[in-house]
Amino acid sequence: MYAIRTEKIYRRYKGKGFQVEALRDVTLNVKKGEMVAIIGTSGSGKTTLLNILGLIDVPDSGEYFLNGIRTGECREKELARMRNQNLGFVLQDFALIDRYTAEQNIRVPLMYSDIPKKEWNGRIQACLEQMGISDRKKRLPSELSGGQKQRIAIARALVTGADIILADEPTGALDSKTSMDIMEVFSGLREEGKTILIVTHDSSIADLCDRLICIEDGRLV
Amino acid sequence: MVSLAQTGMRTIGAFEHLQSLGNVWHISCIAEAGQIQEVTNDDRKIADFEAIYQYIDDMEDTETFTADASMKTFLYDKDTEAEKLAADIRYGTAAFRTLRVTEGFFDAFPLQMSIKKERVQEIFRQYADDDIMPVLLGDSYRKYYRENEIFTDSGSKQYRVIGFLKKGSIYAAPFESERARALDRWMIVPLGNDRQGGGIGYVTELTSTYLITDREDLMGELVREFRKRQLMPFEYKQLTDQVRNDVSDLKNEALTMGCVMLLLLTFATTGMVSYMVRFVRKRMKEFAVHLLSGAGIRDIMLRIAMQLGVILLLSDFAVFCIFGAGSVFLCVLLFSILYGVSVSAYPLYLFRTQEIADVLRKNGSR
Repeated sequence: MYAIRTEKIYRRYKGKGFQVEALRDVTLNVKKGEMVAIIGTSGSGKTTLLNILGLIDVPDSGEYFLNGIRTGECREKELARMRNQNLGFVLQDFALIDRYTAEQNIRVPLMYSDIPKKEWNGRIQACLEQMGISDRKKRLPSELSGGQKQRIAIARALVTGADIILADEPTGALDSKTSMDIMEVFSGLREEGKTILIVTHDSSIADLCDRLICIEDGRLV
Repeated sequence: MVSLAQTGMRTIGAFEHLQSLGNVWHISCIAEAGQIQEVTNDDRKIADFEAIYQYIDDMEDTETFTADASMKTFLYDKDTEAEKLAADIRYGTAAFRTLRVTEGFFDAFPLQMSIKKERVQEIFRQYADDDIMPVLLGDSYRKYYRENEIFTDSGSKQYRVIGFLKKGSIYAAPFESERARALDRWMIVPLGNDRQGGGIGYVTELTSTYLITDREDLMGELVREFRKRQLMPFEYKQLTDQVRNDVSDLKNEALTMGCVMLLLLTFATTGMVSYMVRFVRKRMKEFAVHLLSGAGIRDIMLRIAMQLGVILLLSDFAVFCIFGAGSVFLCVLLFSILYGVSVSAYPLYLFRTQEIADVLRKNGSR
């Protein structure tokens, strides 16, 4: 069974006097437990694809199945639940809430889950330990290094038990050593059976993945 | 604001009702102090004053009422309820502002009471000076007394509570400086025949008497009656124009007040909306993170609405504490809901039209 399956996804953006075909007939299959890199130049459509896979954008046509569920048929509430339970996001600038501590940032997805409140602290602690940053839980993002911030973001992606991690340029704001550390974390997660999609334009990062998907002018090549 | 509007409407209503009854007349004493003293100290004149009263009562085509607000009733010093009352009304001593009226007062001012008007008029009419005095209490005194309860004043006079006025009751007093009196902290008692202060009591009552008639000639005859009985000189004055002017003034005041309030509301609303817009813009990235983490659009919209909701709930609670669960609170509650919805509408629209992906991109997450 595929964790992610798309059939002829088409996405077009319209503006005043212009129209951009961001994705054209994108058909993609990602097996459970696979770590796939999506590589492409700036403006090739890789972020648009990740947005659609992350259920924060909707294709104009085509089908997207997440864990076998046809997402086009789902209501906003169901999509939100899937984002909470099945998907974890790791973004280039970490997308941490500046006024929350590391622990509070990790807690955010739990606020919208069905997980009982008494389990929250245990889950947060487990994720912090898994990322090796349990001593930083009371720190604000401004007090953390880039690598630590990205580990917090990964911990947040994992805290509800999501089985698919979508990472958009996760090492884009990091130095090469820290980038490798973060990739090691992703490799470890793949070993645990997580499905990981990494959007990158860095071939050295892409080389560490099981499979490479190239996107150019909105088409997979 | 709602309370002010309600009071304004009631005051205008009281004046308009008085205006609708016909021409309102007032008699005032134009004698000098020495002459008043001479007449009022002369016990032989009591009979003449009584005759004047009878004359006024017998005037054809004329309705009269007396509303004398010059007295205060002090309660018995050792009365615990009186102490509480004193603390509550902040007079330092437990005193009721007392309005002594004739039955006609209730026809001139249709006050809402816990007892029927006709019954009050009957009780007031039947009151004899040696009886326990029937008293109607303002709404603020409901917490201290029950209907039919008897209390005693500092002069050992007993009073029986026959009913209460509805909250916000008002009567128009066109010839008095206060113009309109809110009766929540007043007691209304029958005028009776026991003139307080002897002869001067008659003068006070006569100058607190209003006559409603369309015949000016009767007023002239009344003044001649004063002269015939060699009492001090009185003159009559038509209050109809004054009442009309009062109504007009009150409406203008209400309009001015309304405009000021509207202006304040506009400023407050502008401030609120810009605060909410700033709040939404400042927190847009945070909201996007919440959406990515599984929040629904509704969750975030609720968070935004709560920002204003807390302020409005606190103000509603303050109104509840001050006015209780009455019509003022209900009006304020409904208004605050409408206000909240209208103030939140644009900030919510602003948020709703944003795509998560755009927000993250604009805030540097992409």
